[in-house]
Amino acid sequence: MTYRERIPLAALAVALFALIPTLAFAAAAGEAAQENIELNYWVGGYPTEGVEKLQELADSFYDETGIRVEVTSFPWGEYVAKHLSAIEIGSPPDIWEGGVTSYQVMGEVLAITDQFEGLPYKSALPPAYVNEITIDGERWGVPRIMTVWAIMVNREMFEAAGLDPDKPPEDWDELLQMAETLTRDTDNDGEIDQFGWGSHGGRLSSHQFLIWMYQQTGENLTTKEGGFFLPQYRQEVINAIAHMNALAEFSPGGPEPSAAYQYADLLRLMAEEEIAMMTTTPYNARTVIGQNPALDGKIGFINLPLKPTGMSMAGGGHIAISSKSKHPEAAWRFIEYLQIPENAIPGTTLSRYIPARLDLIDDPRLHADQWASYMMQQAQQGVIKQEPHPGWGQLREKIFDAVAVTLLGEKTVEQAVDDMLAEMAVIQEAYK
Amino acid sequence: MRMVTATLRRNRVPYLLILPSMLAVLAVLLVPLFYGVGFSLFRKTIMMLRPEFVGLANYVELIVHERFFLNSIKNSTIWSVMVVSVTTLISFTSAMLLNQRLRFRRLIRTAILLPWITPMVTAATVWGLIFSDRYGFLNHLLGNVLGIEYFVNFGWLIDRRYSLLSAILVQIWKAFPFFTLAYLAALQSIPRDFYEAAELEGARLFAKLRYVTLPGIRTTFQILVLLNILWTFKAFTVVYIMTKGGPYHSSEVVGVYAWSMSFFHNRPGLGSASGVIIFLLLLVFARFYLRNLRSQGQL
Repeated sequence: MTYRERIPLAALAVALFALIPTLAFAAAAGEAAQENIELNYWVGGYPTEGVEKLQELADSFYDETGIRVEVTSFPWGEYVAKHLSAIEIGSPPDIWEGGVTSYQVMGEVLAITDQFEGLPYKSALPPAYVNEITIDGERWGVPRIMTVWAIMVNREMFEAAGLDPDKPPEDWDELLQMAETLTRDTDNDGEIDQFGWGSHGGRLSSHQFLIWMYQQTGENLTTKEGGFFLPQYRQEVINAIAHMNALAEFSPGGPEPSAAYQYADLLRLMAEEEIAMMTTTPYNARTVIGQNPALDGKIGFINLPLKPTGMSMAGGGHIAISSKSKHPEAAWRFIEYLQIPENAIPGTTLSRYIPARLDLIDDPRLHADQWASYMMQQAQQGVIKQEPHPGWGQLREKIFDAVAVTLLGEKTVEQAVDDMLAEMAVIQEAYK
Repeated sequence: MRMVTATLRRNRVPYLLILPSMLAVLAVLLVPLFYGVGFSLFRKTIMMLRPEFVGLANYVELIVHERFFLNSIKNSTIWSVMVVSVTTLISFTSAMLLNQRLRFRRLIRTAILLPWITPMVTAATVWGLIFSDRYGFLNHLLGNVLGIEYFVNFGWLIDRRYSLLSAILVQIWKAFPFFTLAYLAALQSIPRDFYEAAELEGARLFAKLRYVTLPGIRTTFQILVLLNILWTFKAFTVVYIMTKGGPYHSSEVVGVYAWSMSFFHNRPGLGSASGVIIFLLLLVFARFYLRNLRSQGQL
């Protein structure tokens, strides 16, 4: 072999010599990159302390696993729009909280049936929540957060009116009597200055309506497949709206102003000590006390009427993994980590929820938080979670109208209900 | 074609300079506009996978079946007529006063700007608290301090007869400073000589107003009124924050109706259709506005 013939061989040897460490370095870098998995986790409507707690848990998870999770919270009103935009541009969060039904239809959520079936606390998940994440025989998320409606009471006003602030009403008639007793002229100047009830007659009157209907019937009124059962309960619907009208007599200004009060107005009336009770979720006590710190220790909760069903309306949501996530196994590990009781309790209560796990009902850590404790009591008694009917926005609008026209005295309750049911039937046609 | 190319070549620097702005206008105005018009032809909920093409059905539903849409048009008309007429009257009068040699004129001119520089959301929120029936400052002042019994717990925002009126008052309060300044600038552009000549002819206050001031600001006046109509008709923030359109749709203006349909009742097709109708209505006024600008030589 001549000198000239040796040159290419020498060059090849040098190239190989250079390539081997490069390849080794690239492999190591790849391994390192694999170790540095990063996940995005989105939540909506959480208070600052809840988001901070979730990020703290995510940081502890990183210390244990090397998987980094970035928690992002959006105001509730923007949350769905942000999520849909992220899906539209191809970068949805790996993990998110909320509903799963619509995202499953869009192909944006990962089925986690095998992992779900292996959960040790599977049987302790509330059935209504499990039903919601079950579509076509597969599981699409894990129920994580729950909120429950109860009656917020001003304990001092109850005691002054001779009522026990810890005793829930037996039935709806007793609630009405309590509202009447609490409506008083406290300074004897001939003017009523304390009202027994804060009436939900405005935009979210559907909340009060559903609470009554669930409690009275013990049934869910919608299904995620588009089922809608309200028309089958005409008499109960009439009773519900008639009862809302009767309660409004003990609300500030009577029925007509009740048609205008927004939810925030009622919380403010509670803070101003104008009303003695209203229905809401227990964590809203923080809002009321925040507006009037003098109420600290004076605000309490009692369950909704115990008869006939004792049921309350529940809210909350699930945690799910995006079908576009590059690290679904890591995402599942994080979900498991969040659901460990010592993480699930602070991770939900600091966000003004309780864990959607009935096996934690007696956990002393939950009962140490008085608002969580109230919710757990009601959860034990029974809750119904509305299924996300696709036309609910339109149907709900008809409930607002029916409640409003009766409060304003424009129609009788029977007329308003019949008109409402007729309009709902037209809407429902589209979802059959 | 050759002429167009030649013009483009000759003016390529100016065209290049305005290109970024034109692209920005395209992106933020025209794209959403066409998107909105397209959206109004579909039946869709926020989460629906495949929106259903329904042609003009949303428009038919709005005009024929949606009684609250026509109610919102009526409210917007009342709103616009009252806001525009009262704002014009107050701001023109204020401008006339500020055009005089007053003591503390500078201070008053600055103070009058305060409502205008207050962010709309802040102003509406604070006014919402002031107008509150049970703990508002206004009822406290009228009912408790001045002892007018009628105003104890008066329902400025929760009584159907007054909710729109209360929002109108806030909108006027918010809008008049800008128009005052605009009228003041127009008044100051009228040469002093005209007034002196009129005085030599024996003209008094109203004669000077009729024969010198009003003709002198006529075009500005027309432009400002049209501009006020354009801004006022599409109002949203004040009504949304103070009443959310209630009680029972009594203060629901078209902007709030469109928002409510799209985002609260989850019917974006109807919301977009109502937005397109507002757009078409305003287009008529915009045409008058542009014609006035043209006649004034500003276009």
